[in-house]
Amino acid sequence: MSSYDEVLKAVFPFLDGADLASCMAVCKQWREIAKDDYFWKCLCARRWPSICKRPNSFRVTYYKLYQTFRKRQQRQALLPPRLCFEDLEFFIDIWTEDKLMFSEVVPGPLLEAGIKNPPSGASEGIRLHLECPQYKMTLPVDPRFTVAFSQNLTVSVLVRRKDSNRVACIINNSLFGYTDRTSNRFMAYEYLDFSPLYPFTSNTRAWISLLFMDKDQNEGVIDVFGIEVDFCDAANSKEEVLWLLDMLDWK
Amino acid sequence: MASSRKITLRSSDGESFEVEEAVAVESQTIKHMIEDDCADNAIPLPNVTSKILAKVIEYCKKHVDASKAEDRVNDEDLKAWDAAFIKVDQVDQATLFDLILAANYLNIKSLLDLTCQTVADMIKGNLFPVRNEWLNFTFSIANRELVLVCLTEWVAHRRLFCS
Repeated sequence: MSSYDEVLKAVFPFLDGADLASCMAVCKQWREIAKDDYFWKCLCARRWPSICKRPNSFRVTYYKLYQTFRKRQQRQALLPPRLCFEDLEFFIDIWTEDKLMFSEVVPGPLLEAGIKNPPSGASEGIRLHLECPQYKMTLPVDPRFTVAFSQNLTVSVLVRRKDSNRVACIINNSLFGYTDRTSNRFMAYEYLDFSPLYPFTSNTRAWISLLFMDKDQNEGVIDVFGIEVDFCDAANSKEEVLWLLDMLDWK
Repeated sequence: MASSRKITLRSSDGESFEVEEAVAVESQTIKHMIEDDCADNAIPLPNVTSKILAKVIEYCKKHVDASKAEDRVNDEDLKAWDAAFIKVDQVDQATLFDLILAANYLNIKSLLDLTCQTVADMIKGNLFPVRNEWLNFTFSIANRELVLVCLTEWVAHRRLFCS
């Protein structure tokens, strides 16, 4: 061991993590010395003194430990979702008190494709809403149907995944009760049921909206041209929505 | 009750230095040697040249004097003295290195801390010249792009000659 090495070994404990890491990039000789876990152990001990009470109980080197926990984790990119829309089928049923207004099996890709061109009677507000980046799944309703606010409209949405043939519930007989007059949506929601694998996810809602034409609002009757399903509480991109669906309690 | 016993220290190049025991035992290494009764004759220090030993003794003397009641020097002044002692244009890099090695060998914690902290500050401030033995030139770690280029060449050259 040369005396130069000895000097470096005496000096390195005086450096903080960023500088020691820089030293590893200087040249091979410095790297050989600076990567010694002893120095990183000292840095960890300075940063988290209680670590010294459990000296050999870490799976990773002190170098890795320091690097990982030194800074707040940046928001990790989502892993690619395990589901895709091709795997999914949605069972959407909408009733008034005495009549089934809408009852369809909607393949995932159709909801994924969305409403390309809102019909000409749709308001500006709806167009803006459909164009905004928060991810939403929409479906054109053709032929359109008409309902009145006074009718107790309820909706159920189930979803089936083709990979395992399991079914999960998105909306369980919820009443439409909220109107967003800016974007002409008549809305219902449901708190999602997640698989027991994900115990702390609660208070995340699925929203379903009836998109209606921009007329006759004052008469309490709406002309529905589209249906929207979104999870704006928690999932605002396609990948996030697919992950959210994957986490449901599939039976 | 400090006895004014004098201790003789002999540097690697044969020079003898006579110092008070109180100054000599600033070095834990020398202290142990004295306790183990090896200090009747001169204490040989084969790892320390006379040039460096002189500086070490200067440092130890100042610190011993500073703690004596009569010459009480306050902390600020001592720190200022230390800073002047180690100031880089007074002490070239080779001397700084030798001081670190000597403080390490002689086990003088305060001197070791002072010298190592100085070098650490130089590294932090990118003022530390590094000699890359393979490529045989000196560059500052501030030139990180240069480091990258050199390392790439080193790797490429190595592949060529060491496969």
